[in-house]
Amino acid sequence: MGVASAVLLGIAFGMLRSGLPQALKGNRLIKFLFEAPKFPPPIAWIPFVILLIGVGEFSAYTIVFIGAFSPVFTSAYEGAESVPVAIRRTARSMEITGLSYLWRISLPASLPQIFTGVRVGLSMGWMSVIAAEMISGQSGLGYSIQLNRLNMQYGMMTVDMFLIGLIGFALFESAVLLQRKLLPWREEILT
Amino acid sequence: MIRFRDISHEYDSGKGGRILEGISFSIEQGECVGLTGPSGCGKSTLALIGAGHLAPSSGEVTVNGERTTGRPGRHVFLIHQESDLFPWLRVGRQIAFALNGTCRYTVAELVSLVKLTGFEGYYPNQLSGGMRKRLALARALAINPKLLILDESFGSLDQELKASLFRDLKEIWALTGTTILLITHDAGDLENFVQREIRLTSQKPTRIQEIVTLPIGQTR
Ligand SMILES: Nc1ncnc2c1ncn2[C@@H]1O[C@H](COP(=O)(O)OP(=O)(O)OP(=O)(O)O)[C@@H](O)[C@H]1O
Ligand SMILES: [Mg+2]
Repeated sequence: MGVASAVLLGIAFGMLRSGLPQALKGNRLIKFLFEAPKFPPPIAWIPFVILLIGVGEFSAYTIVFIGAFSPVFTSAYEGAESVPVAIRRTARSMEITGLSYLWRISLPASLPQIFTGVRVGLSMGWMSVIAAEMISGQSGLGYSIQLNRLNMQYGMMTVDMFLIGLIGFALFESAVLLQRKLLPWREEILT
Repeated sequence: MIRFRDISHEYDSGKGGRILEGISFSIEQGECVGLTGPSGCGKSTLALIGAGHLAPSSGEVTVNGERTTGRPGRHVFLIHQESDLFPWLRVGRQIAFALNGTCRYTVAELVSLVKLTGFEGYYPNQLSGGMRKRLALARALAINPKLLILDESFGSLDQELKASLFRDLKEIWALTGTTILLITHDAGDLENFVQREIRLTSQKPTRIQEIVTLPIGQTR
């Protein structure tokens, strides 16, 4: 849920940002507004979110969203900005402009990069969930680590760490599988 | 008729100075004209100007009297020297994507015109170099431009393949009546093909050296 909305919004905002006129893109203030919020790590946002919307389903989604959004957003924007010039020009010759250009050219052309962002976003989202559970969870693996720490159950903590790794790996692999299915035209080999 | 009127150009970034100077010529509808000149003389630059992707420092391009300088569109379509196919579209979709109302061919007809029948479901990266050039050609025909510019389209291929692509291009030209500007650094490519050859000079800035009318090539 959190990841899905992060992916959709990340792509949409990344595309729209690349569609801004050159004058706005070059503007320092606008750049700052887009770039600066990426720097506080997702974990730093957790206390904020908990203060603002409390503990629960929704705040969990929000935390995942914060973790996953920025890698997707950045990769979508950079993908759209790096469309080869011959392809851009060809699209212009076909009189494809504006939103139609973003949808029909920028988006498919940057899908490979977007997927890279999604993979990173998934990891970040997953890490944020664990971190959030450690800070204020009532359940979950992060919470379990904290609990085992208090009870000095090192064995159980190792199991928790292992499970976190396993689930993270499964998420990552499923993104790779999805990418292979959706982007058969990519030459790159994903293993 | 497509006119290049007194085109001069210098890239603002480069200290290379003036690249093109006082280039004027025109191409009649249905004609196939060659443009030759040594490597680096500014052929691709002129192609970009012709297709409206680059505004020249001075001069203008007109299509049937209408000024199109610096304005890309369906009127002049350029097949770039480097690949400009959309890697995410299969052969059939690639052509359909470009097709517009004014083209009198269907996707299937265009596919067969460039001898790609059976490969409709292939992505560009699954095609051979020669097939990619054919696909680019079919896609350009789908646009149905007033002028089609081919910038060294077959340059990177071996002699035999190049010759066979030129034969096919000639056939397609005769059949479709597309107006073509064929750019190459190798004047030999144009033999038995174009009606006129525009030769550019080698010293900077590049000008037109001469425009020769070739006796052969009127095989339409
Ligand atoms: N974007 C650019 N900025 C500055 N200078 C450029 C740019 N593009 C090309 N040039 C210069 O303009 C000159 C002509 O380049 P152009 O690509 O038009 O030559 P060409 O005749 O097509 O060469 P070739 O036969 O090798 O393709 C070269 O000296 C090149 O360095
Ligand atoms: Mg060139």
